[in-house]
Amino acid sequence: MTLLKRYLRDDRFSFLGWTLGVVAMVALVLETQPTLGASPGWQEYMSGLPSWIEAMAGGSFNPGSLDGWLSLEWFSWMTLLIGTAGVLGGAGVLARDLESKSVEFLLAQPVRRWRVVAERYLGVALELFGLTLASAAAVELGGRYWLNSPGSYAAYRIVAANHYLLCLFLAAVATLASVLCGEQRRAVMTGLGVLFGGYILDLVLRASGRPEWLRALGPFYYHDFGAVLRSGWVPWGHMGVLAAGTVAVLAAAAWVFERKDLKG
Amino acid sequence: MAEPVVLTEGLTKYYGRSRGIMDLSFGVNRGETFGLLGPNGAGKTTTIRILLGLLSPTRGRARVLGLDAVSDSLKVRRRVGYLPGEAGFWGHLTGEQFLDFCCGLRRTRPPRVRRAELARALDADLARPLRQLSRGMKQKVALIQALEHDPELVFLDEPTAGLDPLVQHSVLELLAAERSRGRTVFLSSHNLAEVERVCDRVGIVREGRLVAVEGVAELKRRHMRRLEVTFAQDVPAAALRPEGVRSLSGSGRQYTLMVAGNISGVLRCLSQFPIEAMTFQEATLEEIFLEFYAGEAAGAGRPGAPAGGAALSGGGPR
Repeated sequence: MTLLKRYLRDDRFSFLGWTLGVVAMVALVLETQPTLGASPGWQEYMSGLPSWIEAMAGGSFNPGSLDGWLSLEWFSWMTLLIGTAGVLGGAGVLARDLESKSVEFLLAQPVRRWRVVAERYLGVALELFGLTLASAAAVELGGRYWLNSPGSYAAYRIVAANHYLLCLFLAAVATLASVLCGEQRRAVMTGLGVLFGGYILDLVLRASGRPEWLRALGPFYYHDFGAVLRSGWVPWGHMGVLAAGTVAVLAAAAWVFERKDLKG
Repeated sequence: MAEPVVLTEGLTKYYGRSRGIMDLSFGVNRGETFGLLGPNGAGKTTTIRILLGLLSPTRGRARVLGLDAVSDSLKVRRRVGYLPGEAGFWGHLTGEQFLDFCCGLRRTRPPRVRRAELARALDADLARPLRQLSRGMKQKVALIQALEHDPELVFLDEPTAGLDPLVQHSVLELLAAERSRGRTVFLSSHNLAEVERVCDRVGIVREGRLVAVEGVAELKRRHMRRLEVTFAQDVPAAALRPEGVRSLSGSGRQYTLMVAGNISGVLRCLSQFPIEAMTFQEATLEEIFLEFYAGEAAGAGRPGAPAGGAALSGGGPR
């Protein structure tokens, strides 16, 4: 676990910054709910918005409720925020070392290449877990004890779990890109392309009422927080697909790295 | 006879269509210091990386410590040390942390005593972050990384490249000490003087092909130097052909002679004419290649020609 420990140690300040940022964002969202969310003007404004914005917020919600407000102001884009952290972490799993050639020192030691991928990725996964947990805890504690507001707290936890799996998948994609490209910048661009491209594509397909099978080709189909909030449904199938996809992409990254020639 | 610690047979590597190394066959004996000599881009680093399993060969096979370099790469790396040629460092780590990290990857305890000995021998600073260290100091830390676990075989890729003479001296001293402890050292270099100083035998690589494997004494015999002379008057070129002159260029008062072996005959010949100025310097490796090995390299390039320039090889394993 040397690589994992080193990763977590080296990344601790960055992780702390991200965590504080996420908690601050949640606090801001919760703070504005009683005034902004409940104002009739805001609700009127929301009702006149186009369908794709409604799709972005996970469906039609009343922003006056905590569920509706969080759906619109937090759950709708927390994936982009924490997903970006996942992409940056995933892209750094190997590309930084390949680019700086410090990978030679790593592989000069008797360490299997898949172990390098696995331990570094595990570090990213733990950080994403920490971020998601911080976000979920801030939402629950803030909603319950700060706003004293009724909310679908059990559903929030399910959304957080589903969201975590989506972020793991995005991080795995960035990891694969980092092994294939060998350059951090290109790996980040690829990961962010999948993140934002997939997000926008899913919105467009959802708003335009395209067939569901088409949406199912993108990762965001498997993170339907609106459905979870509305029905309390536990999307085991979706979470299973994301988990299997993550394992498959990560295995591909390890396979590619095992066979990669380290050129000068 | 014991199996050589490094043995390659027809080792070939292509990067797509471009050549890496071609048909390299050589062996390195236990306890010997072997230098792979050649200009930049000759294929030295490629060879070392294949031996460590960092690159997979296109053809041929390599054995290190009796193990297959590709399929047993992990076992090989457990028993060897490696100093990469152009590796990057994790700049935020101190030398000590970097070495501890490498030990962690090896799953061994940091060898504090041996590390301290090496740091003392090299005058290495292990307390400061690597990003604050000069290239020479980083190289010392990297060398400690390669040696501190006391490997039976150590691969050093251009161990003194870019270092100042003082640091070069300490590194070469350390390598000499390793040799005296019976360790096998495999190093690559484009510095002839360095190779002559520490190696028992050398393999000379040119454009990916091994054009010679020979003892250092033999290499010294072949070793050429460049003599640039300015006479006080015009001298006919035909008068400047004593034994030992491999090539002659120039005319009138100024000549450049490539000289091999004993130079006294050459000096006697030159002193027949009034000399205004004379400089005598070691020929570059490239000049030696051009003078000595052009023929062999061309021969080795023919399909089916034996790799390694058998006619030039020394007494070591092949």
